[in-house]
Amino acid sequence: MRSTTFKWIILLATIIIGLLVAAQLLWLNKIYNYEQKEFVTSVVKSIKGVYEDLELTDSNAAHLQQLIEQPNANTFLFRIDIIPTKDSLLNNLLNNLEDFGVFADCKVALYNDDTHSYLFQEYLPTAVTKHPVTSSNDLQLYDKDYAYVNLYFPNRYQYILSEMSWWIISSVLLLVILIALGFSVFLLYKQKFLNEVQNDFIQNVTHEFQTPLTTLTVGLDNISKPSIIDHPEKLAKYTQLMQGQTAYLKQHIENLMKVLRTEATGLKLEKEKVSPNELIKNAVAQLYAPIEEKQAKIELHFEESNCTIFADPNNLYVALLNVISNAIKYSRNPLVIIETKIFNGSYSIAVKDNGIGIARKYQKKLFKKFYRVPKGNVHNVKGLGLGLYFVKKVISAHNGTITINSIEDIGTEFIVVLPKH
Amino acid sequence: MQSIKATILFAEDDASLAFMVKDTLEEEGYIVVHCYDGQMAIDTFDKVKFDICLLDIMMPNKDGYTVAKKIREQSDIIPIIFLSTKSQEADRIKGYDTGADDYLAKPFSMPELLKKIEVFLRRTKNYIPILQKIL
Repeated sequence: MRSTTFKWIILLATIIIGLLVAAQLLWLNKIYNYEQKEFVTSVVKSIKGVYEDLELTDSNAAHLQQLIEQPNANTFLFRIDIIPTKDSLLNNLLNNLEDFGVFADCKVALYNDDTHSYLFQEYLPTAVTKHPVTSSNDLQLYDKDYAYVNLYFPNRYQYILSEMSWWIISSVLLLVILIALGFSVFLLYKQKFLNEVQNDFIQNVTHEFQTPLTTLTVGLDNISKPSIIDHPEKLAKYTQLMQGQTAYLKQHIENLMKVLRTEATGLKLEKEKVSPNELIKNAVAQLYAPIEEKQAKIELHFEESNCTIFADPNNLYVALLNVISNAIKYSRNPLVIIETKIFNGSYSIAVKDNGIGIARKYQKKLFKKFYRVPKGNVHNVKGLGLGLYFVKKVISAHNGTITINSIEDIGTEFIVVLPKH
Repeated sequence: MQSIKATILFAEDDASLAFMVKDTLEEEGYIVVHCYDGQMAIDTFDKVKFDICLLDIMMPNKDGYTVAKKIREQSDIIPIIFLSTKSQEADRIKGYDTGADDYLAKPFSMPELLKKIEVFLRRTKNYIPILQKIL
């Protein structure tokens, strides 16, 4: 399973998780609304009970509903025709509230329409209350031309939430599980990508090492035949080829070792004054073989003062060599333009080619270890996927930056910016 | 030089290895047509009559699997042997699935390759006349 298949699975899983969370939220909202309604119903039932017990009204029992109003969600007002004593009202109210399962603290006030004020205000905590007594706050006065009892539930909201606590806990639990799941899938994906890249690298290394090894094996078979003595020109040709393969293997092993060494011990810079122009000239000179082979044109646009920067010449040289060598390797008829500039105390080196370019989606992975733009089994360009990784390491160690501009089939430009000091 | 035994299509992108193997095969009396990439191998197969194909897998332009498929579209009989560094089981199975008759992992031994070529040629040589008789 390649990571592309995996991406689709992740997308699907995300959609499903999203739907699950949405459904859960919908349910929570429904339950909240239901609990709210339930609370109102229970309070109204309790008030009806008080009406009946204390005979507070002359109205018909069927019309009791109309005597109760709710100016806001926390407040209930119920009209009374007969003013009861404080104790009987409080006791009866408490009993009725408990009977109908309303275990929320409330504040009771009795309004007298003659004096247009509350006769008394009393805080009624439930037996199991966890909230502080807030009786010091005066209740809002609702100006009416009849007497009424004001029932105020300061903790109604918390009470409803506490009624829903199991639902909330289970939802939070679900959310935590989903987040953990998402996180582990993400880790799995990362691991998967790493594995893939590593697997590709192993395949690459095997290919790059086994091929010269095969040539050496076949060559040795050939020159160990007694009949080779009669063909000295063949013997010479075989030895020459085998020497070439040995050199190739040696170079590959050295490159690999260099990266592994920096991996193990970290990149140690030995900085001195170096002229990037000189480094570039040397690098181009070293690349004469591929330049010759591909008939590459190299244009050098150097800044004129030929100034020096403070950097590690060896590592910077290898980094520049890698970038320039890539420009040649990944172009069909290479025209490579190398430009150096000074601006704002920084030194910039731009290497631009007219090569195959790099698709946007691969660009940010380019500097990862062992990464090569996937091309299946078609091997147009050889490599281990270590060049740009090393470049990035060197440039970062110099506190510099490397950026890439690339358009597929048009070309690629790498811009290295280094501090001068 | 011995008498000509057979004509071999040999696709391999590494110039040094190709030279070595081609030279050895020619010494054994085969005619070898070397192609340095997959596309060239496909084009050449259309033009020349071959007796056996030796294909690398990782090559420029077209990989060995594609070449094998193209060859199988034209002939069921011609033996195809993959010579590749891809030595994992999955690679070998994919090789057989695309139409290969055998799979030699690099680095391979030249004497073994020569034996394999002989075995396949012996079989097809006996097989083709029988097939022609039946038809």
